[in-house]
Amino acid sequence: MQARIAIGFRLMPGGWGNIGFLVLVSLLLLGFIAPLLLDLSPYRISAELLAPPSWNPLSVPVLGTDDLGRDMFARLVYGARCSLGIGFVVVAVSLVIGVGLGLLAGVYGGWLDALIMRLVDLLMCLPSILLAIVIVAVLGSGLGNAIVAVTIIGIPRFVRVVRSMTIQEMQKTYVMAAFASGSSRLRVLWSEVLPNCVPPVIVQAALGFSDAILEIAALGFLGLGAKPPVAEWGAMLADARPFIESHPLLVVMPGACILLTVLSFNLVGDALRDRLDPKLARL
Amino acid sequence: MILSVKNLSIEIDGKPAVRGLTFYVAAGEVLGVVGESGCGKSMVNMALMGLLPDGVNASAEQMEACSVDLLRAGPRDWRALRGGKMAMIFQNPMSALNPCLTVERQLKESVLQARTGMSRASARAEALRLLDRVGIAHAGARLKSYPHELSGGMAQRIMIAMAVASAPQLMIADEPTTALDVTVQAQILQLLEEIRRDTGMALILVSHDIGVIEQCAHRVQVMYSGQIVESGDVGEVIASPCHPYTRGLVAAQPGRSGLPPKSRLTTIDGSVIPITEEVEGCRFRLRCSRTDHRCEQPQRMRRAAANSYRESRCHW
Amino acid sequence: MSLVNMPGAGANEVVLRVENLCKVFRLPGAHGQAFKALNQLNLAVTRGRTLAVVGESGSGKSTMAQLVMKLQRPSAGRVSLRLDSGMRDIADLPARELYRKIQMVFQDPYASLNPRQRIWRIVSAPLCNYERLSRDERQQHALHYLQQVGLGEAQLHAFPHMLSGGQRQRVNIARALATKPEILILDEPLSALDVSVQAQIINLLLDLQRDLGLTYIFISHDLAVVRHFADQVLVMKSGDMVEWGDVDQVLENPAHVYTRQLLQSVPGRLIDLPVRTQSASVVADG
Repeated sequence: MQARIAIGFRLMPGGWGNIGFLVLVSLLLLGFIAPLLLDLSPYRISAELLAPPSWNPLSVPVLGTDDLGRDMFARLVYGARCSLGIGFVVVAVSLVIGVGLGLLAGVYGGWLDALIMRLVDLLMCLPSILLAIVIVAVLGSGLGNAIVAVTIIGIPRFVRVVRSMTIQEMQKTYVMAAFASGSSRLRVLWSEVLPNCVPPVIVQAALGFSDAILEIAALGFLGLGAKPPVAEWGAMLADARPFIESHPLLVVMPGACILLTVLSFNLVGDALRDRLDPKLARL
Repeated sequence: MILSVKNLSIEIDGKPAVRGLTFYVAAGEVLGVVGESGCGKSMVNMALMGLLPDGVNASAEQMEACSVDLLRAGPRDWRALRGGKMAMIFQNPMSALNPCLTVERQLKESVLQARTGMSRASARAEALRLLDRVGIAHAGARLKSYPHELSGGMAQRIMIAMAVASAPQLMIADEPTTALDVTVQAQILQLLEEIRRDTGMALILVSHDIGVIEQCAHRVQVMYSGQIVESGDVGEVIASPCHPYTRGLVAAQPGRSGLPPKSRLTTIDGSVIPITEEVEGCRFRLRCSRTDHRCEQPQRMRRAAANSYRESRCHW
Repeated sequence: MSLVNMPGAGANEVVLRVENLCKVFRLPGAHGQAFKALNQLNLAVTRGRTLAVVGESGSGKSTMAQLVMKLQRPSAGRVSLRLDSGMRDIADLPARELYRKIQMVFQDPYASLNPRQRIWRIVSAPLCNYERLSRDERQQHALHYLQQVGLGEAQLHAFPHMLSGGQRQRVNIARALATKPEILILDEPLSALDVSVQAQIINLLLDLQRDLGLTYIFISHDLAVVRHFADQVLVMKSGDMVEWGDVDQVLENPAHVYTRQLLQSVPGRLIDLPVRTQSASVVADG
């Protein structure tokens, strides 16, 4: 048990990152545990339209209702679930593809490297949100396609990091030592190179998370991502736009959620970078 | 005395590392400092040059170089000392030169630092003279080179040229030949000796290689784990070491042991105690082959003979 | 030249033979200059003996080691290795067979161990290329080889950065021993170590050679160590063989100017300066 707690502490990124980490953990708990304990529905319509927040945890519309009478608190909670879930899927898929392509480019070099890296350059030469809009325009709008678009945009960061790490690692004496003991290229990649790429990849993943959430929200806001009535922060923001003057809280609340989440991921990412980059600082 | 240091102690993050070093360097003398990695020899050099990093603090009863009180020196005094009466060369000449600037830029920089107010043209002439002094052929062409175009030996010669630009009274050479080939090492050591003879500067030569010290130094002090454990005339110390650590170091060299080929060498057991670790009594006690109850007391430097400056930190 | 005159050849069994080995590097660029790292190298290594290869940086000694280890392809010439079936060209040998016979200890004990792997994993890694091993088995094997080099359980689960330079070099040697090779190539194994630690490693290598009957190719620039440690010596300069012979002959009576220059450069009084006399050792050029 104590070991478990110790591991839990080791995951803490340290410094400002700890605050981000705690915020994220509470968002996760809120998004995935709260719906199990409380009777929350993001779609149920009540008679009270645009009810002001009661700010009292015991009375029902804690944060009020939106223009269709849906519980804002429930929608925000489900929005957290949606954003974090999508973020996870996007980062996981782009990480796997990106790391794979990075390893290939780094190890084989030559035309394969050139091909992969030019594709990556192509992806990086447009602002990511524009690129996402282009991809969604090609694939058709909808949450699924938005996820695909954001995943594709997430790939280059991993390719670049892993490729440069791989090229560096392949020069190391211990990689030569592994070849000299009869290891195949695949084994060297798997047991010597890949583990050393983990720290920078973790950092990139944390930063990728925040970008993915921001982009999904942006697409939602533009009406290219989540479609109503799905509770998604970006889409909620778009829906509440007409009421920005009369009921500013409807815009502020999902906006604050996006801000908080993205900020937390960035804090965690930066702290991890500081902690993991000076290589053996605290192994 | 060009340099006299009394009871120099250095602390890393409040933990004692270098413990009460007392030594001196006379004008024109070569002091050899021998010790293994982690014995604190580089830290002492940094303290002498006022270049200790943050969190590392030096204190001493007395620390005086070239008639300047280093304990009271302000930033201006230090700058004047470093580019002037004191100079330092490092183990890895390649990383000590800026890779983006030509030799000319870097060398002229040192020249102008030493002689403020000199014109650009005469600085260039001085740079050429210095390159010639350190034995670099085709000095004019070499001035245009970038560091990566130089061999290790050449780069070290240029470091030496930069160091002697200000005609220093004291040069500290921290493992100046460790990264070089043996034949190049021999040339660099010879060059240092020539410069010393011509200019009368004093030299602190730090090395882990007893051979280098034996060849170049007049006096030697052996350091172990933040202390000087033996000091004296080079020939005497190497021929008949007093301290068991010195004895071990000398015997560990295959060429010196006098043992038949392929026989096991005498070694010092164990490894160096981390410099910040506290040890009760003699710091070499745990690796020493001959200990008794007296070793549990801290050891002080003792004179080997009444009229000799030979000292050893061992009671045997 | 007849094989009898090759460095290292003697009455005993030759386990490794290098014939006319050349390596040319082409410097980058379309019309890159060719650079001869190794030129017509011949040598033979006898079972249970130590052949020292001496030279300065750029002499081609490390290139030779990498060619013998098949980590690079030679431009010309061949390396053959004695197997049970007789001498075989290593170019035809699969990596698995080659590395069971011959292993290498690298120069830099800091760079040659993966900083993110525990010691047991590093030491037992070569074995995993030959058989499927459980975690427990790997640790047992690793412990065995660690004990062979004077380390023990305390280091089994450590990371490389927790060990001293000498201990790391022992780990390197343990890893090289793990496939039970007959030949070890020692590429400057002492140059990154402190003097007193060097002596410990020399003793370890001498013990291992006596106990396991290992054959060493010992690459070094330190003539004092070579004289103590090796049976034969080959002196190289800019890719060429300069002089070879028994250690006593070459170092007491160097025939080549360059060998003499090397000996004179040794600082201090480690080696008595040789007298200039005609030597019995063979000189490759002038």
